Amino acid sequence: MGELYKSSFYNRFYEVGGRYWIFNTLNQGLLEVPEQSFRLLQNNKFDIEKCDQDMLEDINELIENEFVVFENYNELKTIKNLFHNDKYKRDYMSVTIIPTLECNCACFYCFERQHHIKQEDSFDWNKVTEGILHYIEEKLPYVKTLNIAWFGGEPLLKIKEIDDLSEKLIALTEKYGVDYTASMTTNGTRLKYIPDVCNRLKKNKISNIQITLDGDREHHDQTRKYASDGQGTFEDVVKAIKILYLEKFNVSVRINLNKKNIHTISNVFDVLEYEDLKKVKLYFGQLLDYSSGNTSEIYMNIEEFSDTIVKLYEVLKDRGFPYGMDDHYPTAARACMACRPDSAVIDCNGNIFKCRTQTGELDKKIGNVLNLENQTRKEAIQEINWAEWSPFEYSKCTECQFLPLCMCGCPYTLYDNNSTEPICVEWKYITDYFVVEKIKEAIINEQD
Amino acid sequence: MSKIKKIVEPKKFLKNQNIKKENKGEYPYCYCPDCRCEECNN
Repeated sequence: MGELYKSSFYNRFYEVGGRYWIFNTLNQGLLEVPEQSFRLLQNNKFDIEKCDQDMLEDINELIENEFVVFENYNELKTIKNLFHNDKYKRDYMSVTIIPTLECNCACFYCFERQHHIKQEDSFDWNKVTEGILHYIEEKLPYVKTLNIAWFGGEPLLKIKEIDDLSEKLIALTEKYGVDYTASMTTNGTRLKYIPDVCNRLKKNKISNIQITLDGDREHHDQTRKYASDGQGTFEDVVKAIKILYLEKFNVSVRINLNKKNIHTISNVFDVLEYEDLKKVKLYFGQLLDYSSGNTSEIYMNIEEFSDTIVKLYEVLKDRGFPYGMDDHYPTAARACMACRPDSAVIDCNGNIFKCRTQTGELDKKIGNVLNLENQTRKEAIQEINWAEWSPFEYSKCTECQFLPLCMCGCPYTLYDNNSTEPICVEWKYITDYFVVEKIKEAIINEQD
Repeated sequence: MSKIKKIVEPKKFLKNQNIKKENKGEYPYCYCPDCRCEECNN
């Protein structure tokens, strides 16, 4: 008997245009294959010596490309190996800094508002700055790239503090020969009030900026209001997107989807087209329930969300928005930043968290930059729970073909709770759509 | 001649997994009791 082989567990099979295609969720390769090979792989195990001679070259190429593997090879071990090697790499350090917990907006779903958090009375930004610099400097000898993500509250309420700390962080990375990159998540509404704002952001090396819209003007203004007078922010947010886009920042516009705004998203595309913003990077966010209220009338489940985004991408494609298929072809998921040893979220009081969503939940912090030597036992346990959370503990996921693409999704509700099952993310529902789109693109390119 | 056509190049995991990679100290969390690297001693 010859060597036994099997079709990779991660192969997915497609018949498009009377032709045969295989996509592999582990190696993310996409092949067109003859029907005979396609059928052979669908049948799973086979003895290579019993295959037709005219198929041998194809099978050897499928082995070479890891669509066919040894029958006794456990592919899950490769996924574990990739996941752990990447998770414990220390050459990339990402720190989220929250220079203020205050916000000029009052969005009903904001997770930070649930905790009524504020700056502590003893707040001393200079001391917190020193603590952050000390915390980061201790880790820099291992690091090649430091990424700072400015988050809030609304970070642009504290532009002077961002200017000051950015200058010190950039100097620190220069001292250690480390690359420095920065990003910001902002509601955009403060932009027009800040003198020379774009040059200041550029000086601070903040190149990637994320801004969110909650639907068209009517729906956005119902949820994203100024805290001061209850007026909607849509117009100011769109202006901010335009300013940043024209100044050549990498602007990502996240469009939050919920059951009430999904029918209005075409209006958002109208506005972006009218403002000559078709080339802005768009993506869709699933609005999640971080509060305990009865909100099923608003929030979509993952099947509804996946179905909606596929329809919206069809609209984008038809309307000639260039952000398309290549941006959504499936890619491998990596370990969540919250599970990596050197990643941290630091608030304006110096508290260190692992996950942004926990900002304000003081019982979830893992320490404070002003008191690094005195981590409590409870804080240490929090840190360990995050570090040791593993997607491989759930049979639902280890037995799933989509694991390489999602790595179990968001660990927020799982990392300290053994009884909760992971909630699937959209890859389970949209992978086939984007693979078939890639196949169609390949067929069209042949004809050109 | 193989009749297989690559639309998207697959990643390869089963060639030169680690033996040819330069050790840049990127995997400091080693559970080996014989390891005596600076990181582990800390």
